[in-house]
Amino acid sequence: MKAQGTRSVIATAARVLPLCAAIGVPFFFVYSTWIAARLEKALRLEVEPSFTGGRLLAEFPNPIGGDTGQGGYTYPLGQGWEKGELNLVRYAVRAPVPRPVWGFSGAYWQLEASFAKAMPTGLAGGGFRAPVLHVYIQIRESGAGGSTESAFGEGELLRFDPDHPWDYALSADGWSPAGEIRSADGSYRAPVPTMWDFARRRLILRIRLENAPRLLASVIGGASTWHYVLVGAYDPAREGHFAAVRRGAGLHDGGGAKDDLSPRVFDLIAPKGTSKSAELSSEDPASGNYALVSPVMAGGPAAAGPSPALRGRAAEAAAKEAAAAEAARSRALAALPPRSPADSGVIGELFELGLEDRCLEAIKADIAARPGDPVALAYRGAILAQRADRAAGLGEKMRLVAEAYRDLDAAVAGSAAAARGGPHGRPLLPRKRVERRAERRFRPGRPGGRRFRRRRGHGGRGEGPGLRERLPRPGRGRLREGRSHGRRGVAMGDLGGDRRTLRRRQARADRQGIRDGGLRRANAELDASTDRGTMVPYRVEGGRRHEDKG
Amino acid sequence: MDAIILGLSGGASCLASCAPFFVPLLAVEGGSGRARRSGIMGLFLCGRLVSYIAVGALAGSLGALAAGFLSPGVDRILLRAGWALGGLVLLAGGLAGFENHALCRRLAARERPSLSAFALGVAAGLNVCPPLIAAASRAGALGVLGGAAYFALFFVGTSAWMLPLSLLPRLRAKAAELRAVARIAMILLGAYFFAVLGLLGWS
Amino acid sequence: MTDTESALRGRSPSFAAATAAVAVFAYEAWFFNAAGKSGAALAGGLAWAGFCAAIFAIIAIGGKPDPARRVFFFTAALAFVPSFIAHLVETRGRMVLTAAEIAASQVPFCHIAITTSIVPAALLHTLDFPAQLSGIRAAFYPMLGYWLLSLATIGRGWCSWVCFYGGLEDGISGLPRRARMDIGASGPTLRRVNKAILGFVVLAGMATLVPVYCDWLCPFKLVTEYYEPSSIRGYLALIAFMGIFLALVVVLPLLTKKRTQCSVLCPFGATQSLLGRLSPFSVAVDTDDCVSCGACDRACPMLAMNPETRAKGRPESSCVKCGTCFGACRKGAIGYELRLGKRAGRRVAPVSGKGQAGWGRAFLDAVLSPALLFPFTALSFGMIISSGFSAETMTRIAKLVATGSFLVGAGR
Repeated sequence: MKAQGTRSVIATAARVLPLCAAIGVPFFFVYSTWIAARLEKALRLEVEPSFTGGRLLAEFPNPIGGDTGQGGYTYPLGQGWEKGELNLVRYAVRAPVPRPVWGFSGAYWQLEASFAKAMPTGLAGGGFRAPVLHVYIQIRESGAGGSTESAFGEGELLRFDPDHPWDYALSADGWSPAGEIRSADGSYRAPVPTMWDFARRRLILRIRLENAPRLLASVIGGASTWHYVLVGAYDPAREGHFAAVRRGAGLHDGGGAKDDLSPRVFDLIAPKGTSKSAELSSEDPASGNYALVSPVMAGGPAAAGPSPALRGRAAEAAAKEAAAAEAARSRALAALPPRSPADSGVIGELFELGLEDRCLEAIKADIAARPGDPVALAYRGAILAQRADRAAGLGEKMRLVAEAYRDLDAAVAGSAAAARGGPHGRPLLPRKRVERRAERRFRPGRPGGRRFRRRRGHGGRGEGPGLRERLPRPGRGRLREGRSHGRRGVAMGDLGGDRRTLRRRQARADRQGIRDGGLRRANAELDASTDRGTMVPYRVEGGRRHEDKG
Repeated sequence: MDAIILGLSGGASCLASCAPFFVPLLAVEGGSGRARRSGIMGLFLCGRLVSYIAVGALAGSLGALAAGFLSPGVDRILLRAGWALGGLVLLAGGLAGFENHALCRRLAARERPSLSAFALGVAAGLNVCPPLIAAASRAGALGVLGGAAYFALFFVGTSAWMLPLSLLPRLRAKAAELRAVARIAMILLGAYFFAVLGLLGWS
Repeated sequence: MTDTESALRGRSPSFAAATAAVAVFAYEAWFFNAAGKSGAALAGGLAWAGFCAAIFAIIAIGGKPDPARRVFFFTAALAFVPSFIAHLVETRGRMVLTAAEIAASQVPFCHIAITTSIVPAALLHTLDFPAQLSGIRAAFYPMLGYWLLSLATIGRGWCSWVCFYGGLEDGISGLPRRARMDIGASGPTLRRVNKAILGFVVLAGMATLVPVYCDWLCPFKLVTEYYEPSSIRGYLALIAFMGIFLALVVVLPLLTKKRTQCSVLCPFGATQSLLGRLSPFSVAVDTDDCVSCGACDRACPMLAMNPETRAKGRPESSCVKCGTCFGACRKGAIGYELRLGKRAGRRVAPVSGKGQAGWGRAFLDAVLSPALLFPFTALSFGMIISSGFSAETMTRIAKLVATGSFLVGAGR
């Protein structure tokens, strides 16, 4: 019987499978795009970096429309320049490839510059125009050696940050098949193959590391590098190939310069916290100083991690820096006029110097002398908050933040009282601002956000009293101790709480964009129910409401 | 300790780079018993251990010049030596399978699978892959003995990935066919490794 | 009833089935080639669709794949080359690959490269081929999809119905009237070499993370694209693949009437042989009818038939299901078969009339017979894959005749 069954199953399968195959083929192709997308999602492969130039080490996006140099640069009038062709939108540094494949012989280091607009020019397209890219690279860990002047005579009319003198200067234009790299002392010069990827509008440069000087080849070991990336308009007539920028644009010159020393740079990569136009406008025609630019740092360890030799050097440098900082601090401290620690001014200066322990000692002494001194309390709260930031676990952070709040609240209360008759002004750290920052930092989606919200009691299942419960609010809104009447609402789900609490929680959740199913359900039930609850007496004890059954 | 972790982190790339040396050997022995195959695997791993220790000692002695190890220098030489040695052994092993020609018969007479396994292990160990470069740079600071010990532990970590190969089942039915195919593949691999990757250095 | 009538009536279910299948195929051909197009593209599409439908009609009604399949296959292969090269010239300005395309991962992905990349991709999550991963047809994920589909449906039938490289060889090997060299005796060795090359390509690819086959051995770079030779190594590779092309794709097929590249060198074919067991279709020899004349041995272009296989009833795994042996066999003992279950409905020859009862059943049997289903599946596959480039080539040829230029759009 079973054999029969199996055979008939096989027989049916024998008919059905080929039919499925026959129908499946055209249907597969109809949905082939969808199927390919599913495969992509499931497999998530990437192309071997030895083909594409190495693993991406650092990427610097740049705003679109930033090709305005000092702020008002315009393109040269000739050659059919289009806005965006000098707009550097992305600069990428890749990890060096020690063993390249498919034809590119010898180890190399790839850098990429992407532009907002790029098209083949010259014989095929119209006009002979191209961006010219200069990359100045510092490889040394300590600041010794290198240069702070342009490598190309006048070049771009710039000075470089004395803290980061460059070791190698790379110049490439979108026109020639190879750029050039030269060392700061002039001893090394080599061609740098360049190629365009017009599909992604990027210019690819590959610095050869075979037969390169020791310092340059050390990037394979994962040395950190600092890069100055400058873009200008290509002008073969000028040294360095950067077209001049004058007040008025010319056939080959850009326009919009503020003075004769304006840099010839249309776009560059500026480090975080600095403004491109500010950097490029920092020239001083009176003293003849060019504008000063700062580099960005790329990489750090390559896949292998820093070599011990380099790590040792880095550690050495870090230790030296720490020692220098400590020496500076102790010098500053020694320079302080002798004052009693009870003078809050000392606390402030110790705080500024970052000497937390000394500061806390001074605060203790101060509070012993003047209990409730709001300034000291405020500083202590601030130190605790800083420690909370550095703390390891979330629990530890919460504890420290709670303590900080206590001190800060006391400081606020104290200074408010004093304000009514004292010299101290408004507190610098209002509770509301801190709360808002905490809320923003721990909003949903950020790491730790959920736990924070639960602890605060936002629509969570309640892992105990939240932060708010731990910190009774001073002033308005506090539950007044004593007795009153209130409505006991219908118990809603597992949240409990009365109508007003639920409504308030929902409103808060809506404001902050939290979606809590339990809360919504409870509120929905509330809406649906017609029970208005019963009036019950309650009393307030310890900051919470208790039903007064007695 | 972090040597072992580094070895484990090498992942399947260790399997991938050592497999070409080991799989043909395994295929040739596909029909034999488990004991024999484990023996071959053991010899292979011994060979790798030996070459890893040697590389570790070398890296340690280079010491502060570890940066030079990473740049196109020492690691290239090691790599090409590994390819050349591995290629020769594979070539010899493959040719030994053809008893029609005099030369091949001589090779067959001298063929010792245990020696081949060991030699292939050595060759595989010289195959410089990114985890090896990382280990070399870390061992550079440890001196000769320290470097050797570091690499021995690194070996333990990487070998964990080789173990799945030993679980392959014994193929009785198609053993002869597999062996014939494996011999031809060994000739091709051997020629490619020795001539193209080892001697000429074209990757 | 006269003999003719009864014969005709007997033929009816299979003839009707064939006609139904042709109708479905014709719709499919129109859908994939001509739907949504206009102008010159529509004309090219309709031409190709019509051509494919005609081929299928001949196969379905005639009952034998060859020689119609070979005509289709060769034509598709010939249509591929100009389309591909023209595309390269239009987008890049030249046929050769340079470092720029490789750095930008813009190299079209070839199905043969799947063999080198699949194992490293599984182990290391990286693709050792600088191809686009998705977005165009010759990207990695679509190709992977086509390959998996082929394993489930036609197995190594890919090599005789879909692969545009094999088409060149199939056509060339079919040109001479008879073979001047007989390499049938070395069949087993050559099959082993094929598998060994697969092993070599996979293992060397794992070790070096470079597609070794594409670097040194692929002969079809001559008709697609190749890396710019700028060093000794480049020139050596150029000589290698040109030499292999001439030897294995042109000269040896002409001399031996065998598809030497496909049966000896191609690692993708070896993969399909090994994994083709997943396909529900296969070729089978009816050992009762077989008289061991050996005609199929001589006819098979893949060296897949020999006395052992005839006795066994199944050809070697290197069989590409092309159907050349069907025509060579005087007794009609060879045909497509379903892998599972007994030989059901093998023959496509007119079924002797069973009478009125069972007409519907006979029709269904005929429709679901592997003799009809397999060519339908395989030709659909081949037609859809070729729809991209074949219709376009026809348009380009028309453009060449009309304007004297083969290229569409601005060159560089």
